[in-house]
Amino acid sequence: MKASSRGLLVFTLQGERYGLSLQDVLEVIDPSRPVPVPRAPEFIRGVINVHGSLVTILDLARLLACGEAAPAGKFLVLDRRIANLALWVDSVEGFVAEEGELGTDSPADELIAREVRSGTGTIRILALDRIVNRVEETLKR
Amino acid sequence: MDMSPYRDLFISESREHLRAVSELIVKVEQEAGSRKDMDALFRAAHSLKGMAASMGYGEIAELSHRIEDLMDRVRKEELVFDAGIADLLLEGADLLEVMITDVANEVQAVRDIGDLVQRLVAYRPATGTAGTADGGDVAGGAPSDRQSPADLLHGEPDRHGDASQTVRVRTEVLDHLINITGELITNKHRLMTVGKELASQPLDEATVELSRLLRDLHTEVLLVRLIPFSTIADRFPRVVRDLAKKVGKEVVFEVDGKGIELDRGILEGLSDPLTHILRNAVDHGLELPDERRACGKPLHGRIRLAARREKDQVVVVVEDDGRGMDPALLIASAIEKRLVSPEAGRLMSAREAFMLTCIPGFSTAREVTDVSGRGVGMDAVRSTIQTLGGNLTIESELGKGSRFILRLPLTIAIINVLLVRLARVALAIPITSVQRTVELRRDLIYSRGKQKVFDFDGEALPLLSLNRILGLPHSHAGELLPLFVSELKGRRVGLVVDEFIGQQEIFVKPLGRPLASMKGLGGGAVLGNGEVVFILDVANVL
Amino acid sequence: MGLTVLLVDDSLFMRNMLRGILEGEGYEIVAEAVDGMDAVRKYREFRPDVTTMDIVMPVKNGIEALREIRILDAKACVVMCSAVGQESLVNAAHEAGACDFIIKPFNPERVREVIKRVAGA
Repeated sequence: MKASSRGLLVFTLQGERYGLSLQDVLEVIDPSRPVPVPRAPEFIRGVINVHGSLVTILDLARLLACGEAAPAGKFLVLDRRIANLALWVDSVEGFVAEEGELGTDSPADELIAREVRSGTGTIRILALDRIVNRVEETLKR
Repeated sequence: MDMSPYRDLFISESREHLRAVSELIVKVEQEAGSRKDMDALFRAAHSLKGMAASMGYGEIAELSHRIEDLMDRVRKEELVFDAGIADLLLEGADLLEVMITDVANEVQAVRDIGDLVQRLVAYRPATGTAGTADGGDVAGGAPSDRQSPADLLHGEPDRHGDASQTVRVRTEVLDHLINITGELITNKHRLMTVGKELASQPLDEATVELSRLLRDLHTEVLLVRLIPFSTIADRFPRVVRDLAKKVGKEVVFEVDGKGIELDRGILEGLSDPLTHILRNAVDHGLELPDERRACGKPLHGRIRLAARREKDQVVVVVEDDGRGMDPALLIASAIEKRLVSPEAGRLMSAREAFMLTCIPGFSTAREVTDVSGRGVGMDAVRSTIQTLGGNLTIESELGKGSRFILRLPLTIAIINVLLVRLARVALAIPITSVQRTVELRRDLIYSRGKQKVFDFDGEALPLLSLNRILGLPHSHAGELLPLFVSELKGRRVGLVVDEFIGQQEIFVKPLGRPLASMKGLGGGAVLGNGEVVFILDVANVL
Repeated sequence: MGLTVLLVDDSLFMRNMLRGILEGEGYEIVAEAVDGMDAVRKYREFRPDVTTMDIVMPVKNGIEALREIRILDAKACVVMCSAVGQESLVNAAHEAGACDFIIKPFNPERVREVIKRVAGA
């Protein structure tokens, strides 16, 4: 597969840059107050109503254990085929075409699929499937 | 009437149909034929029958009729279109072609259709006995190599590789339709809320009218989704017969209420639980003939499966005239397995004791047999029924038999709930899980051991705080304690909440991945004011 | 002037037979339709006095077509043509507002009698 043909949505979290394939994001919306889920782990912030569907808000910073989401951030609603989930992130930087410069070092965190160099920094690409799996495993307990 | 003017047209049109039939059979067999193709096959045979009958060609009409019947069974998903059916149909089409050629040639030939008609009528799939012959294969579930109609309707992974594709689309359309209807109902509540604030007479009238129309629409949409109980019930005689034979029991099995219609989603969900209950009845409920003789009972055990409509519910009952259950034995067994404390056991009513069979880890089987000893137990049965928005009760009399009563909503998507508030969270409790709501005076609460209890219907029921169970702050400060009586692990309890908001119809929305994995949540809903509520799965909340 | 009739059947053979029977009685066949959707369209266009409607048809079956026609025109007179053994469909058709039934294969006497009766009503 040609990595360079795909677009990335780049967002920030606690000063770090992260990326997701554009195809995996349904829409970016402003935060609204989620309804808390009783007994859920603290990285589940609650559920909101997005166009009549219930979407669970995942506080990505809490899941990655690097703080918590900024109240003024954004919700990245994921494609329903992946999960009924929206990621609460600090801000959305924009879209970049993923260039061929794939990071070769395998990231230490299994929730990061790979790292891509862009300009002066790196973008950490999330491993969405593993994130959803981990959340699911935690919820089952 | 002189039919000769129509003869040529009969011949040409019949041949057209036959050509279409041959093409369709091959298409359906080879490349996962669609529902549309099945319908077309059925229609072609139907048309042929009508024309031949009009012309007075009795044998062509008869043979077409049998082909039409076979296709109808496929269409109704009593049969899966397999190679055997394809062969039979092609043979039929060939014979019809010969007979029509006879007509064209004005030959008075005698063609023997009897044998083929016989095979068309008696057709059974070749693999039909494989799953049921080996009882261990099917315990607690539908035979795995024969797809249930519901599976086909819902497009589960399909071993036969055909027949399901477009049928699934149809079901999705239906689901979509009911989703939209649900959205409309939610929006109507929203409009009514706004209307109240505006106090506008014309708006009120319009929303009242809208309510009426929506109710009609809802009814119509539900009607479309209804399919008769026979869709699954017709499989059970075979299940019961095969198992009875295997375990050496004699059973008379009756089914009533086959025509009762249920939402197809609910019917699909009922198949496994009912199979399990019926197998239990044969395997454990009924005695062996010798034992029955010794008790002075007829040698044939009797099992009855009956569906009936009660207002907006469908009640499905499975009853047997077997040995029944002994509450004391059940309780002793539960205590021995440390599923209940001896003290709780002592306080249990017979009704609660029967429900112990539905606790995970409990099995009434004295020894694990190869039919019922699999992982699927009564706990799964009960949980499935509750997921469908229904509930299960068990009645039994020692020596006389047992009765399993399933109460189900007519529709799965819109349910009646009791809305309650806990701390700042609104929760929806399905009405089927609420036996009674009570506002309890504090002085009626007393202690029994470590447990706070109150008297209800002559029984001391434990009081539990739903806030506490859900890890929410609990004050329960008022003069009267709002609580509802429900069943937890086979035991009736009073669940205390902070406030009753009221009763309402809500449209159930799935929580989806990953939140659906959380125990105790049965979905969510959006209220008229836009507020999101969770539906509590009471049975699994502990 | 004869009453106007719309014939709905996917089989040309059947339409011709019916036409033969009805034209012999002096009715005017204003149109023929080959499936349920076509039937609704033709009904809207021709507003016939009587419609004969086959039940088992492609695209849209006769009962669905009947329902739609009754929505277009609550007084529509539609006679359903059904085969023996389709009692459940007959019930559905009755509920959907069919005027009467003709059972296939067509018995010309019965066809004449039914059409005469519903046309006179």
